Amino acid sequence: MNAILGVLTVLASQPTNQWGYVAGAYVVVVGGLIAYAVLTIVRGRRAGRQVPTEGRRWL
Amino acid sequence: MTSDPGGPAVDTTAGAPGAPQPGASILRPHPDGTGSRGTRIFGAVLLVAIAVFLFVALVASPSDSGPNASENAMGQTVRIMYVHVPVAVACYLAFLVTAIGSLGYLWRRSDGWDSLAAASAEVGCVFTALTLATGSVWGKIAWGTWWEWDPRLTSTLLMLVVYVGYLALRGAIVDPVVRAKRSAIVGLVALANVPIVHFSVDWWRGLHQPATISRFDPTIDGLKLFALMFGMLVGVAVYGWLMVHRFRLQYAQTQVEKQGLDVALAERRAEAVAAGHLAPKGM
Repeated sequence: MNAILGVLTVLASQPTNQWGYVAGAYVVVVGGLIAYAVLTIVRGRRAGRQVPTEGRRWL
Repeated sequence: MTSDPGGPAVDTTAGAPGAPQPGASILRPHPDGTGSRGTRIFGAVLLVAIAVFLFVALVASPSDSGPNASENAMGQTVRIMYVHVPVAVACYLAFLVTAIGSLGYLWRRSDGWDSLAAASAEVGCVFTALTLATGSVWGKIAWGTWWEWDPRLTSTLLMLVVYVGYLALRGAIVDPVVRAKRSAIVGLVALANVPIVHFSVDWWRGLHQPATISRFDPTIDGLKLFALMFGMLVGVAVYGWLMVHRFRLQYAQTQVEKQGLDVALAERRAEAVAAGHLAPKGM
């Protein structure tokens, strides 16, 4: 019993928990930015199709 | 992005069909939405920079513990700061650009400035939401709660609500001139949120830690400071890349809206002519 409690204590120790939260934060940021970038590009393609070619000049 | 946010880069009505357009050698038409050769190169460089940043932030930099720990001794959670601070800086920058675009519109009354303000507000909202999300994750470890009505968190949430309101205002007004003018005023006034959010940790007592680097003696150093600074550089670059695409989208939407207005005006004119209320155009 003590051994199980010991293992659980190690698993629940701060570094392990912290890495999970760190990974979560990076997934949220990278995932959120990728999702927004894809959404913007898709909306841009949709809107771009409705604009004459000459109105779509940019560098 | 067009060469000048103050107006269209090329006069599309100039020249006979087939004749070279002024500036056509620099500004080329792009059939595939908001992308261009420049954005693709920028995006490729950005992907490499993001990969290097992830390596530095998650692998190379040490945890904030031991004899070299900062005064806050954040352990592994210091790595959250490498993304939390950059997205926060990017949202400040986005709302500053919104205010500049708003001021530009009130000064020049051109669609380009209005598009710049609108595009930056939306990108800024995304970065603000990410700031709150990453701060919430950090708060769960540091404070044991996902949310606390701390001055920094509350003022940031208020800032997000104000800019979501700005976007809602833009969606609610049909007349493009009235919409641009009213949203420009809101875009300027809303900038007051940014210093309130930034200095909230100094003005009021709360749980959020004070500034880490925006002072003469940063509380972290070495590779940790490098990871944070590099993250800020990448964050601003990501904002720039997103802004190029979002501005072009806004510009295209403005063109589509103008076309719709022109068609509607032509239809009303034709109806008036048919009913005998108006002389045909050109007579």
